[in-house]
Amino acid sequence: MSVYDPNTATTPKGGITVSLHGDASSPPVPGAPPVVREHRRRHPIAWLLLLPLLGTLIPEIYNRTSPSIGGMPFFYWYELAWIPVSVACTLAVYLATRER
Amino acid sequence: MTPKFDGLEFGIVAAFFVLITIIGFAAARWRRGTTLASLDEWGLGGRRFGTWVTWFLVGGDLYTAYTFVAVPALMFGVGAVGFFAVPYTIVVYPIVLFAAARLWSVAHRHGYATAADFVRGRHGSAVLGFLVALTGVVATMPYIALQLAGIKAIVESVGIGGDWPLWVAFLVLAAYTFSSGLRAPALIAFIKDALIYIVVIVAVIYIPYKLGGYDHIFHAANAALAKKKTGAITLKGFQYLGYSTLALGSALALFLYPHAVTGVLAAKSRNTVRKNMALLPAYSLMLGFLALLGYMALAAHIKPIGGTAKAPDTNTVVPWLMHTEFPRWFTGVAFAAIAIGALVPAAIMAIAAANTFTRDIYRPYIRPNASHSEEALVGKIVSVVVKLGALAIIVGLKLSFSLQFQLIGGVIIVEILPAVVLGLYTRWFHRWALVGGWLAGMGLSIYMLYVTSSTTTKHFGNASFAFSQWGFHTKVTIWTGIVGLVANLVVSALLTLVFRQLPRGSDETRAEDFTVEAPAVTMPAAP
Repeated sequence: MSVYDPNTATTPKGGITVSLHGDASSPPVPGAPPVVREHRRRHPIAWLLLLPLLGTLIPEIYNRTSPSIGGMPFFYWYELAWIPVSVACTLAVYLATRER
Repeated sequence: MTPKFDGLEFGIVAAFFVLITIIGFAAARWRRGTTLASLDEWGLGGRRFGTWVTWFLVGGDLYTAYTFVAVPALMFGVGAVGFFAVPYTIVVYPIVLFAAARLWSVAHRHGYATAADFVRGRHGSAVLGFLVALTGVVATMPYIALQLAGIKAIVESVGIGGDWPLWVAFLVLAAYTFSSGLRAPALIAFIKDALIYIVVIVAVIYIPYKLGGYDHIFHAANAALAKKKTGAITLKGFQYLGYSTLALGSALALFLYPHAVTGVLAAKSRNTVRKNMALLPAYSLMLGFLALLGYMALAAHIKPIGGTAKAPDTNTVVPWLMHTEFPRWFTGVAFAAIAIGALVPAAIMAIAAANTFTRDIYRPYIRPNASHSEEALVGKIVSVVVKLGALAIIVGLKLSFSLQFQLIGGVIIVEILPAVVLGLYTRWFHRWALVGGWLAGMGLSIYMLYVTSSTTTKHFGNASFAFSQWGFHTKVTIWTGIVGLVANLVVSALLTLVFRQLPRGSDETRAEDFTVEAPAVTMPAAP
C-alpha cells in the first residue's frame, strides 16, 4: 500500500530522483510555458483517503446478514453505503488541495 | 439453443445502432481542431475534454457492457464473492486520485500520449517502454474481444444465430473510429450512459416489485446457491483474503490499462482529472445495484441460454432476466443499452492500443522520424487491425478462451505498476532492475495462472490462486496479480542495489513537471 500512499509520496526519497535534470536553474522545455506551481507538502486531509480502504477491504467487519434494511442483508447495504462516504472523502480532499 | 426471433426487440436495438452510427461519424466535426492528422487530435480528442465529457468518457470506458453482464453473472454463479466489484470500484478512486493527476501533468508537459511514453522518457529506457507497451496491448486485446462477446450475448437473446451481426458491428465500429477517433466514443458515451442509467433504475425497482421484494430475492438466492453448492450470500472465512485482494488488485490494475490512461490524458486540465476521481464513484452505485440482478435471476429461476450443459454461459442470465421480466419494448431498450455499452469501450480500447503501438513500438523501433500525419495514419490502421484480432478471438476461438484471457489481462497489466506509478514519484529504481522485476513478476504470475485449473480447463482456469497448490492445507486463495506484484517490487528493489554501478538512463522530466496545471485559456472576445 505504501506505493500509493499520497502522504509519503510527495517528496522523492534518496536524493537521486531528480539529480539529472532537477536543477531549478536549467532552461525550461521549449513550447508554451505552463503555469508552474510552488512545490508544497500534501495537505493532511489526504489521510481521509485511507478511510474507504479500511472500511471496505476488511470483510471481517461486515460479513454478516443482520441487521438488514428493506430486506437487504448487512453485507450488501454496508458496502453500498461506503460509496457516498467515499465520494465525500475524495471530494473533501479534492476541494482542500485543488489548484486555483 | 437460440431462443425465438423477436422482431420488436431486434428493431429497437437496430434503431439505436443506426443512431449511434450517425453520431459516430458526425463526431469528427465536434470541437474539431485544425486537422485530425495527428495522434493528439485523433487519439486523444485534442486533449480538450472538460469535466462532463471526461466523466462520461472515462465512465463509459471503465464500466463496460462486460462488467454489466459478467458481475451479475458471477453473483448468479458463486454468490457474495461477485460483490467484490463494489469495494473494487470504491477503493480505486482514492488510490489513483494523486497519481492520475501527476501523470496528466507530466504528459501535458512532455506531450506523452501513453503510459509507455512516460516510462521511456522518465527512465531513459526504450526497452522498459517497449515492455510496458507490449503488456498494455496484450492485456487490451481480449478486453475488446469481451465487448464483442457482450454484443453476441444480446444478439443471441434477440433470437439471431450466426456471427453476421458481429461483423456488421465490427465494420461500423471500425469505420467511425477510423474517421473520428476518440471524439466518437466520447460523444456516444452520453447516449450509452443515459440508456444504462434508465435501464438500471427501472430494473432495480420494477423487477423486485414483480418478484416479491428484496427480502424474498435474497432468501431465494441463498436457497438456490445452497442447492447448487457453489456459494452463499455471505462469505466463508477462507474467502476473505481472496475477496479483498481481488478488489484491491483489480483497483490497482484498472488505471494502468491503456484505455484508462487515454481517458485521463484526454482531459483538458489537471483539475478536470482530480475532480473526476471524486465524481466517478456515481457509477459504482449503479454497478452495485446491477450486481444484484444476479440474485434476481436466481430468484426468478432463470436458466442460462448459451454454452453447454457442463459449462453454461452464465453471461446470458442478465439479458434473459430482462427478456423474461420486462415488457418487450423495454427489453429492446435494455438490450440496446448493453450493446452500445460494449461499443463505446471497444472503440476507446482500440484507440488506446493503437496509440500505444504507434508511439511506443512503431516510432522507436520502426520509423523514428515518422511525421505527425504518418503517426495518425498508423494509429488509425492499427485500431482496425486490433478490432479484427478481437473479432477473430470471438469467432475463431471459444468464448471461454476470451474470458481466460481477460483474467490474465488484469494479472499482467498490474506488472507495469512499478515502472509507471513508482516512476511518477521516484527515480530510485534502476531501469534494468525494473526490467528484471517485470520479468520476475510476470513469470511468477503466468506460472501461477498455468497451474490453476477450473471445471472446464486444466490451465489458466482462474485468477485466484489456491495456497493448497504449494502444499498448504487450506482453502484460502489470493488474487494472483498481488503475488506477482510483490515479487516484481522485491526483485526491482534488490536489483537496484546490485546495479548501482551501472549507468542510469537519462530523465527528461523535472520535479515541477509533475504538478503543472494547464495554462488558463483566455476566451476570445465575443464578435
